[in-house]
Amino acid sequence: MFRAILRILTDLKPVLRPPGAVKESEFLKRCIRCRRCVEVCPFRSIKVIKSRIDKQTGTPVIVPREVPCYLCMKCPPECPTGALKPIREKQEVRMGIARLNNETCLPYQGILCRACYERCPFYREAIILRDEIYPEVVEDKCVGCGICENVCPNEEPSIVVIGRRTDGR
Amino acid sequence: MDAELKSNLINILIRKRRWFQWASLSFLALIPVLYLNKIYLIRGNYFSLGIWKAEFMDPVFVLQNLLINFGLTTAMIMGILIPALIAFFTGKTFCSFVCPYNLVAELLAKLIGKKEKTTKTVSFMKAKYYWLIFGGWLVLTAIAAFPLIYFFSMPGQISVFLGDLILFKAAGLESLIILGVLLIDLLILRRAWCRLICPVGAMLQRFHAPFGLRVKFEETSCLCDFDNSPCQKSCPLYLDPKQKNLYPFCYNCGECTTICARYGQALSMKFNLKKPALKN
Repeated sequence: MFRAILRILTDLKPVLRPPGAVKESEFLKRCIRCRRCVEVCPFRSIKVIKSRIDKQTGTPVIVPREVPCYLCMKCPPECPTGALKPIREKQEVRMGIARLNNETCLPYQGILCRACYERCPFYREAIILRDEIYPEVVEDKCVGCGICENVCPNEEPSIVVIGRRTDGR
Repeated sequence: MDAELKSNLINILIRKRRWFQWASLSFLALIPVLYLNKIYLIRGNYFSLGIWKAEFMDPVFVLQNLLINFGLTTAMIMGILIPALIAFFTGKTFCSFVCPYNLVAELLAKLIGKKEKTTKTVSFMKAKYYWLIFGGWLVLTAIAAFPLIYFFSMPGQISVFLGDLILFKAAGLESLIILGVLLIDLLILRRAWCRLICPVGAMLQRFHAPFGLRVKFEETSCLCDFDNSPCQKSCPLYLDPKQKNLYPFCYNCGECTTICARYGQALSMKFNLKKPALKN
């Protein structure tokens, strides 16, 4: 199950890196695949790409549907090579960005649901409710922790976090 | 007196070498187990290790980072200190006392070797070739422009294999490299990986001081048949400890000095702190 998810996720670029990751091309150069971020995460959020042999082998990823990032900020200072840069405030994290699928999201289908809205660590900032019903992602505030994707009650999550690649932080 | 005490201590440590090796392997398995029990005191493996606030890092990965990213981090500078210092005084003792790959290879070689009973040593190459191969690794890494040595650092790969097995209950494809290297190394190259090819060992050997711990041979004390001696047979790297150009190949495991203690005691492990008095 876990390996299947990893495989799907690794084929679906770009992957979600731990918080503080420098931009992807830089990240692959700096990360020595030592798993220290994995071994310092108290939530066991960080997994490792192991299903293939290429530049991404052994690099850390977060699979929000398994365990999202709870933004404890323990991993960035642990990185010995600067692939993860220390971050002071969790608002500054830019791991990824949540994308909402209006076609499957329950409120848009007429079923009341506030799972992502209520669990978002930036309550009423990163996910807002339009007309008190329809959830919407505020791109400037979303850090990409993946908690929304984790709690989405749909079997295929209607809100999915995609790794940010343009912005380093 | 003092020198005698020191050499006794060295001999005791050498005889307990297997103990160190097994301890090192258990240590690697302990790290993920501690993590699962929510103890975050020790993180990492033989690529990079954090024990509380202390940092350790494989020197070849520091060099690799310098080549790819043209810079160093403070963790790297702190991390390289202790490994470099140990290598400066004792050479590649990481390989012989700590490296889990060497433990596996040595044990397997013993299993296979019993059938053959080969005593032939590998004819010496020039030290030049050793450094050329190391240079080759560095050139390859620079061309690949990502940490390529990750795949070929056997101590790291084995620690990662153990760690991921315990944490994720999954083994990656890259762990097959360990098996591949092991097979080629044992069956075809006769331990050339540790003796000649491994970039981790080569980097450590770079730090080895001329006056650091080395195997010394006193020809006058040697009692054995020169071409078929017990020391030769005991060497896990198929070296002949009686030859002059033992370094940079030898990893100071001291097996030859242990076996020689039963014969003429011609071989010993010594720091060469005194200035050479040979020049007249």
